[in-house]
Amino acid sequence: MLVNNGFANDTESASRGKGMPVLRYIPTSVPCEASIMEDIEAGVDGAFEAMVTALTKPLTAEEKSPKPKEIEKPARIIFKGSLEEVSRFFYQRGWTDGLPIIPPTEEAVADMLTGTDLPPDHLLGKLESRLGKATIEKIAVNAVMAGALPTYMPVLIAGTKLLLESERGFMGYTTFGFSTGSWAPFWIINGPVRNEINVNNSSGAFSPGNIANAAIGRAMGLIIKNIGGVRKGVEDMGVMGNPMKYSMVIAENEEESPWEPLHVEYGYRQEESTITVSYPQTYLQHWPYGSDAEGILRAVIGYIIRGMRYTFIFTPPHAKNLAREGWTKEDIKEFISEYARIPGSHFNNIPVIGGARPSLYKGKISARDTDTVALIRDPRFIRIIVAGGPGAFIAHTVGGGATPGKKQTQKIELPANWDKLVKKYKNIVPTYAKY
Amino acid sequence: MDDEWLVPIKLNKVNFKGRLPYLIFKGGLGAVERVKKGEFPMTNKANNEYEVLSPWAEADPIPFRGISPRIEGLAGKKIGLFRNSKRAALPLLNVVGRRLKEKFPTAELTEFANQRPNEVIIEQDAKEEFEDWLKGVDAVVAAFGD
Repeated sequence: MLVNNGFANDTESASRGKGMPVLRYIPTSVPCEASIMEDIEAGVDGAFEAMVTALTKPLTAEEKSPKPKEIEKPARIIFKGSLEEVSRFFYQRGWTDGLPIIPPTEEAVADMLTGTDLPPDHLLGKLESRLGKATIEKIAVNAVMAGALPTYMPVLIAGTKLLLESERGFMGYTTFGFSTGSWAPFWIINGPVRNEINVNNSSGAFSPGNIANAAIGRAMGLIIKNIGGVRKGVEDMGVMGNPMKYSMVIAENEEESPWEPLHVEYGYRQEESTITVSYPQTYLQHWPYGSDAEGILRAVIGYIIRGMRYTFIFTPPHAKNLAREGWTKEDIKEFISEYARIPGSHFNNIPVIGGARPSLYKGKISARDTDTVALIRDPRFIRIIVAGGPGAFIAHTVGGGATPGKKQTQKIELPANWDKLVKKYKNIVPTYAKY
Repeated sequence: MDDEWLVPIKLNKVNFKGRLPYLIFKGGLGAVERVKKGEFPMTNKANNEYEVLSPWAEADPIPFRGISPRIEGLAGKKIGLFRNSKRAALPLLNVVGRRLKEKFPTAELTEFANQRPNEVIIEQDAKEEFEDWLKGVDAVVAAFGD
């Protein structure tokens, strides 16, 4: 197998994961996405003799029959030390996101487990890429590390289920958790649980400073790393990386939205709580051209970049202005998908995966240079939610997202002692001093 | 002093052997959350040591298998060129094919492409077609990566 030399670790991890630890692969100097023939020829020429040898050199005994993999039986108690020593130990094992962690002691994990009625050994499933066993206890351990409160456990369990049940194709976790595109999971929380656990949906909703927004996303990142075994530069081959991977969690401001909330749009009841995931690569913000529908929507289509799927986040005043002029969420989606367009000729030199320029009318008519082509070809690829504080900015998240007919939202199941738990933890909020 | 409203503050353990000191915060100091003692068990460690659980999940062992026997030489053999959907895979294998024909003119080349991004079609929709293709070749060079 010929691979780019930067993908050697990934190749070894993937081949071991597929049960073939002795795969013969040849790292080449051919640059990724190479289009310069001289580079490709130089890379192939540099690897050619090794490639011929790999095809013809007789197998070693190990290559014929590799030693069976030893059964992993990691100790349950893995370390004992001070706060700093625990953080350093975990960091050096590659188990953290680089920030210090809360030590997952037996007591702390037991406390975290009060957030669910499921037993610690309950297995939700096996999470890609290493098919790590996603037990409730492992979720709780990672939740403690992230600084989560026990009331976040139902959300983390639902989030893990979403990853486990994600489609195994191009638009699911198995792409966006690992891809060179550095896609980051973006979690939207709907329903009563938002307010019970204080997920920020107002001023600076995407900024640090709220424990739920910070710790839920952080915990999910640790779950992906420590249960899924997705490590940066080994399995997660994100080229640039993405700061949104630290945590990107928001609640919808359902109370101030003139429209039905996202989870109701997706078939859940208003009184149910859900978590919805997408995998944006990019987050951008802009002003409207005016505060009326024309000013808002012309600005939205003016700022759309080429991407796959979108979530638009409108502030309550903008959403109310749009609704007052009669715009529903469906109207807005149709408008954007119809009028956010670029010239067909724009695609002439762009290598689109699959090799095709976007077509016209449900893919039925080939686009010519003189045609304009929709940037978002299906309104169902768009999500609209209401959040954000005072002010007049509009936010877009761009990347993997709404995938019609595929798993994208999970109901959050609450434990029997939920009201008591909420009472215990609900008042943990920042209180800012006047100065 | 109401011991229920104490916040443990970790200081240098060299100076504080044994029980950790506690500090009381009163209202108005800003972003300080007052918690009841015992509410966060991870902070109540008198000896400042933590026995911690592993976050790394267990996984069932995957049976390992060896690779296919090698061929003695490439002359006169049928070599398969297999690629994924990424941009560099096709031109790279085109060059590989040209070099193989230059060095082993009697070798025969055949191609198979997985054109659906990030879907293992050779284990799904195209499994039969792929397995038929594999039966017809002596060796395969695969190009993966971006």
